[in-house]
Amino acid sequence: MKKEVNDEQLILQYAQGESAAFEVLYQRHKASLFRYCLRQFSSRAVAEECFQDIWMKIIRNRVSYKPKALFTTYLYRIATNQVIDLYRKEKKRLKDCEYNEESFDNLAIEAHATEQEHIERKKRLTELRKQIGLLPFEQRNTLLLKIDGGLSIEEIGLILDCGKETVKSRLRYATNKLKGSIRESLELERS
Amino acid sequence: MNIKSHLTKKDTLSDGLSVQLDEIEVILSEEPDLKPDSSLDKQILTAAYRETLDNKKREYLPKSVWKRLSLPLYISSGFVFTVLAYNSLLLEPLKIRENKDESSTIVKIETDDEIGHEQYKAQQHEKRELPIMESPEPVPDRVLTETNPVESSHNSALESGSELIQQGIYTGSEISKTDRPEKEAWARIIIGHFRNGQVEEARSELIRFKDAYPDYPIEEQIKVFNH
Repeated sequence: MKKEVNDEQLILQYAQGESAAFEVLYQRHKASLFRYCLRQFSSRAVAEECFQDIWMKIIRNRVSYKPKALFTTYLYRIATNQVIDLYRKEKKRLKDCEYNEESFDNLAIEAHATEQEHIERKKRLTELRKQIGLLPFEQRNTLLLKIDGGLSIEEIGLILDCGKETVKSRLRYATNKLKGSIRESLELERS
Repeated sequence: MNIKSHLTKKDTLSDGLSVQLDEIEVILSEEPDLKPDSSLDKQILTAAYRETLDNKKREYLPKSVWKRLSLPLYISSGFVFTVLAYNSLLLEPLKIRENKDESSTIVKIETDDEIGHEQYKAQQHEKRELPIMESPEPVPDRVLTETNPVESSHNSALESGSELIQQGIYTGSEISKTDRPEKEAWARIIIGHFRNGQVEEARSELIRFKDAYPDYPIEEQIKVFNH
């Protein structure tokens, strides 16, 4: 069985000119990164722009990458910086990042169960997304890095330049604020 | 890999926090698999391929080569410039420049008669221009010897020199030409001084002589006069 090449080796191979290595890398991380962008901005258009910019930065800076840390750390550090840049660039976009119900309504949710169940699921998911959108940026970013990026506390600390305890406290604050919507969804599930 | 083992340690989160995070994750996972559009995928992958192609083109002449060559090139060009400047500025006046003009150079060959005629003309011209100098009145010998001992010693030296002239060995004109006469003649002058009883003068000359010709065996020649 062919041994799987890790992310760090792939980006180094791409830096040496193997474009196929990049494709593998892209396929591995595109879904999680896109989710991260989409949940940061809520607007799909802005999220796509952000997503594209992040990958373009990876492509341009491929030679300067040094395998001192995991590739995911490198990727999400660039992503975080890009998100912050986009927030700062246009104040209008900052307003967009606040909860926009219409944008979430556009999200397609596959109907696995009955129509009623589908409506309930959609409702609780929308509520949770709304609550996430209302979180302060630092807490939201930490939470999304953990959930969407699948990063460890240490990796998040490296990306955000803060200690492990800070990361944990941000996660705790974020989850406490989301408790209400979580309970609601759980009650719905039980009933 | 060390980085990976270090960073992918299991997070030490409290049970409550990890449970809550799991719950959030479960709810969010119900969301359909959010993926970017295929057009966006194509754009990014095309950009990635294009960048590698550009990179391959650049590899023919990488910047690092120029960076490495910059210092040696700078030094060698500086050296070449210095050599050229030295040749052109310092040695140029000594070179005989070739006459690149098409006009011919006239060379006039003068005969001896013509040269003689020119010299004669020049002499005549000088004679006309130079003022006529009156000859100085002769100083009486008595005055020189009594009032000015230096002059008198000089006269005596001239006398000794006249002896040499008579012998056909040394002429007075040679003394005036050089500060240091030839060692043979000089030695004879010193001996002449000793012979005439001019001891002081002879000694001072002897000191100068020894400075000039330390290897010359003059001591043997003046041994007779040491008594």
